Amino acid sequence: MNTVDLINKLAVNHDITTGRAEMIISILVERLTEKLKKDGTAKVENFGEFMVQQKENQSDSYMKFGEIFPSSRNQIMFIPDKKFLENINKDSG
Amino acid sequence: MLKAEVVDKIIKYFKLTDFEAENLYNDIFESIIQGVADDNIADITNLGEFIVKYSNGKNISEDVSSYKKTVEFIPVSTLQEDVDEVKFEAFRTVEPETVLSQSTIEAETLKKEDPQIESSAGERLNVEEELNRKRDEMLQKIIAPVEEYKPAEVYRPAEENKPAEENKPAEEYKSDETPEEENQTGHPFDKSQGSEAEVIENEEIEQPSQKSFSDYFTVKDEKKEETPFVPPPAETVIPPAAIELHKELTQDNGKEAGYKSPLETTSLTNGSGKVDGFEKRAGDNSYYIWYKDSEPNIADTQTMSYEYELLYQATKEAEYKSKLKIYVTTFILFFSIVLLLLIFSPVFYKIFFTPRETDNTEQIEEESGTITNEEPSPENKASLNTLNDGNNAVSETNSPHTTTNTEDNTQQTQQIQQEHSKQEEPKQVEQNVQKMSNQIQSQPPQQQAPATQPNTQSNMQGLVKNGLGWFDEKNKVVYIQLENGKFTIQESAWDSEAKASKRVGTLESLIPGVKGSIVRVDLGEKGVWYRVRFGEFSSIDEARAKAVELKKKG
Repeated sequence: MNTVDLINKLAVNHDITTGRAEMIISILVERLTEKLKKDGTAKVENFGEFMVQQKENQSDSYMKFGEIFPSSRNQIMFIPDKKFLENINKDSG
Repeated sequence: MLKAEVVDKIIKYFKLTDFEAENLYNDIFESIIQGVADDNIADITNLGEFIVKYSNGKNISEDVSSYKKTVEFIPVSTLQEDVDEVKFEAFRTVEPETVLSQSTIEAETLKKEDPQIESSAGERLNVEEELNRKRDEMLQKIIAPVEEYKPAEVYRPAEENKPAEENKPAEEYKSDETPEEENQTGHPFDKSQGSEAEVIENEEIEQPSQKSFSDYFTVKDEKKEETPFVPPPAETVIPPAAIELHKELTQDNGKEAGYKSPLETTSLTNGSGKVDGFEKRAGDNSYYIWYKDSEPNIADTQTMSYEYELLYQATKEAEYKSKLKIYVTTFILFFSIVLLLLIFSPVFYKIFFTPRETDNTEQIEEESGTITNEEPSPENKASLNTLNDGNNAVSETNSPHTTTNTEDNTQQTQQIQQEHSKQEEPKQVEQNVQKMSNQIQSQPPQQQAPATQPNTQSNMQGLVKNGLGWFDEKNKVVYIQLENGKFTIQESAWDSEAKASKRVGTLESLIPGVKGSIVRVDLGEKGVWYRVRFGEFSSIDEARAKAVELKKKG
């Protein structure tokens, strides 16, 4: 499944144009990422929670000075909701 | 919070109800879940991929840890970079001071721990400090944001601010050799091979008599030595190749070669005006727009976030729809008007283009056989015209003789018309009267004399001679003499044979024993007319008696 499928599904289910469906999804993604960048977490009901986790600093040439150089990468984690997990584990039992 | 924001925006932009917007919001995530369940993956643009993965017990709560499958989220690179960028920016705004303090602490610890440095001369310590200081400068320039950028001299200790340092070429700082190694080489050639410690030491001592390795082979101009090339401070830190690349990218060769962070936003949108349209800044998600005609400065630029872009698109869409609505409405209106005109064109034709009908028309009620004065119709008018045409034809042939009796005949005709109008008799008869009057006008006096027969002159009262025969004013019929000398009665004339035959049938029913006949006459422009005649009588008196009988019955 990709975004096009999602757009088509929304357009059919809610009787709206694909352009509108695309805009709605864009708004949702934009809000979600903004909130994630701003607060470091974004929780969606019945879906899951997005979190920004900071990785530990990696050593490089600057480390010999003992400074804390911001070479770390922030990792985005997703913790699925129970409902989400139940859905994908239906078939496997 | 997220749901409320998104639902509000959907309601605002798309004019949906709360219920519809919430349904849309929920349906998006339900569709994603369903997609992941069906395809094991859901790829959402600008967000990332949700991939089914077999669970290892991590990142899920305890109550669902028994599930075999879980979901892993892999963000798109742009989102990952954005998240990193935010943290990086937040970090480096604080860092320069800590870097400096830590570097000085490090230098002190090195000084204490390293016995060689501790036991060496004070100059060696100065060299180490200088090296550390240079590294600090490098770090500071790389890390520090533009707003907090200050010349390197600000961070230097007071005793280290020496003018000779600015004259150092960039190559002197490329080597990572330690001071100990440099000090072990005492050959004058080694000094000229770029050992940092020696060069810095020489500069600090400021001994102009000392020569470098290349000085032994080249002749130097003293004037040039007095004003050596002073490289900009940025080049002492950043490799020249990187600066040139930066200049090429930003196209600001004319500017001073001051250090600018590669993440600096102004370097990307330098206001040169050569880039039109949208341009995304590195540290900002906003879009900046300027147009070709306007000078690109901060005041003219418009910040257009994604929301405004959506709003702009929605406005354009609404504008387009309204225009389309107007065009379609106008076209439908015009087309319907044309269609209505086409449909009702016969009606309009009848109303506006039919010739005006005279009041002197008649309608004959076929069933009763009576003649009544009712609405005018062109059909009944035709009988008069027929007779008039016949009279006119006669008058044309006899035109030289009509001049003498014209006035008298006119008076007679007027009198006849007045009488008939007072009596309210059938219009067909009036038309016959009119026909007769016309005939009288055109009747030659010579013709009147031979037409009257001697045996009927005594009974000619009330009869008027015309081109056809004798017009009976009282009974409103015309007595016509046939070729065999007998007389017949012409009762009326019709423009169609059917009407004439119908009239004949009516007459035969009214007067039994009388045989009616139809005479077809072609009057040229007036068309073909059918004259209704009946009976054959030996004398005009007999015919007149029959006409009286007809009038009584009819």
